[in-house]
Amino acid sequence: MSENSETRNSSKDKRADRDVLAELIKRAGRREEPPREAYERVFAVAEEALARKREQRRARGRRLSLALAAGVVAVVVAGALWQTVYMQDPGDLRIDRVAGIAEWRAGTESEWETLRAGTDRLPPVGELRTGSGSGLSVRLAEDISLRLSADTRVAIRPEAEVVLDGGKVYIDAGLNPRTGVRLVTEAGTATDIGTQFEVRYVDGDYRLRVREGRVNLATPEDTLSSVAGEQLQIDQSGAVARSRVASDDPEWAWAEELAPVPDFDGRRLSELLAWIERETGREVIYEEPMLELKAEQTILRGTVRNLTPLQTLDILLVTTDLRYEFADDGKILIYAKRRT
Amino acid sequence: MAQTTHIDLQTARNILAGDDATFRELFDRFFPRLYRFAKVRLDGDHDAACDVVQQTFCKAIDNLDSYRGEAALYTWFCQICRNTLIDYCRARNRRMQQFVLLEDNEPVRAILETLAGPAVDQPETQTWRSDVGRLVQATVDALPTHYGDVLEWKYVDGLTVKEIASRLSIGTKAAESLLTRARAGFRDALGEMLDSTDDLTPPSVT
Repeated sequence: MSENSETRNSSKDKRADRDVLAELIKRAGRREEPPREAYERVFAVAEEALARKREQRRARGRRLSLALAAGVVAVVVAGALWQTVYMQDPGDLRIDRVAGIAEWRAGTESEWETLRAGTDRLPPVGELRTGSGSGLSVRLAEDISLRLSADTRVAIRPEAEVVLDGGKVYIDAGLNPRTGVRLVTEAGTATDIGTQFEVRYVDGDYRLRVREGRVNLATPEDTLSSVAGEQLQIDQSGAVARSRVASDDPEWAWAEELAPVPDFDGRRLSELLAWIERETGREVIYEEPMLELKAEQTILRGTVRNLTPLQTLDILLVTTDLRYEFADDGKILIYAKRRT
Repeated sequence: MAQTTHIDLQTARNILAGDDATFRELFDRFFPRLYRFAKVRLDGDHDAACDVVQQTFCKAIDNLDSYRGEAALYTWFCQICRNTLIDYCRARNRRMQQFVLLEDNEPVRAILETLAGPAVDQPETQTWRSDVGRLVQATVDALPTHYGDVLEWKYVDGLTVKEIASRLSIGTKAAESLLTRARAGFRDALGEMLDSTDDLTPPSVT
């Protein structure tokens, strides 16, 4: 074929190709524009979120300046000066996440105060409550995670005792066995050993679900024990019913959404995956054995906050050569980025 | 191994540093696209789409200082939106529209093979419009700034290059160049998604 023919064919091909693209776009039609009122409404909320974010960053900067000037505060520098650590009572209650409306008061004689963004510490004893559609995640002493669902009220007592007045709470007492949390209700007191469990107490009906470990429940009539995968219900008449609840049941989703996210910057991917297993109740498996080693060797970069465990996994995993998907049985399958 | 950093990293930093104009511009660009992204996956539910996109913006803003520029900022927002959709649907025992299947190679290839077949009126069917049309629109949405707009103005609204240039307050040559780049970008993006650029011909174009 002559050069001129090749050039003509090439130009013809280009025009044809352009015609095809034009036809595709034309036939797909105009993209829908959202209504103006939706735009304005969402923009207002986003603008407010941005203002809060900027204020948090300024406040962090001010605290750091004060700390350096005073010279009496221990500052931990983690590569990018992410956090400032104050010398404080290790028994303080730490606020991990607030979703919606959450309030605190020192005692029944005090006024309720709304927990605002940026509040990260409270005294170790007091009362907490959440509003409708809200949630709260706090850290008790010894790293015990206490999460409150909507319309829930608790009192925090010394030595890791929590009194549930009404609503639903989730407790993750961590990986190591300990003498643990005492969760007190009028129906009974649950004591855990190295456990994840949930208690719902509403209008005299009591429900305990154990995700991991074992919980002993002392009622006025009896002492009951419940193990991982078990649900135990006690109605107002005192009748006890047991049933099963899987560790990855969607019923646990509300607690996952309030999970405090550790700082994984500079930590191994395998640590992130272990945390994911713990928070989602789903086992992590690998397409090939080598990938488990790769997870052990891969160091993560980046810090995320206020995301759910799977959102965190999405954001941080994209910085690596690994990806994930859900297997048919709900397990999390890790595979290499380029799959054929 | 050196890692390239996306230009959007500076955009994110500027926004956090107080640049309201840049934030407004980003919102203008991202909101309609994320709205469409969410709405098609929520069975056309406008209120739910607004809720999801609002949550997406709040989460993205809260984590904006962790954005490291490994991917485009819109891609990063989309990932957050996708996860927010999953959580939203799960919390309400709701099924997410399985639109994402179209982004796998095999089903899309099957659709295009059907389109390339002898049935001349297939492009006019509702199935073609709803399935491939959405894929095309999603590809247009995913393109960089102004690319999607100029393609729509040119091929849907029928604007001339001069009219497009006037809308963007640029010269005609610049508009032509932008249109060329937009077509190339669209072709590459769709081709990548389909794993083949040879099957793009609708039956009515020969």
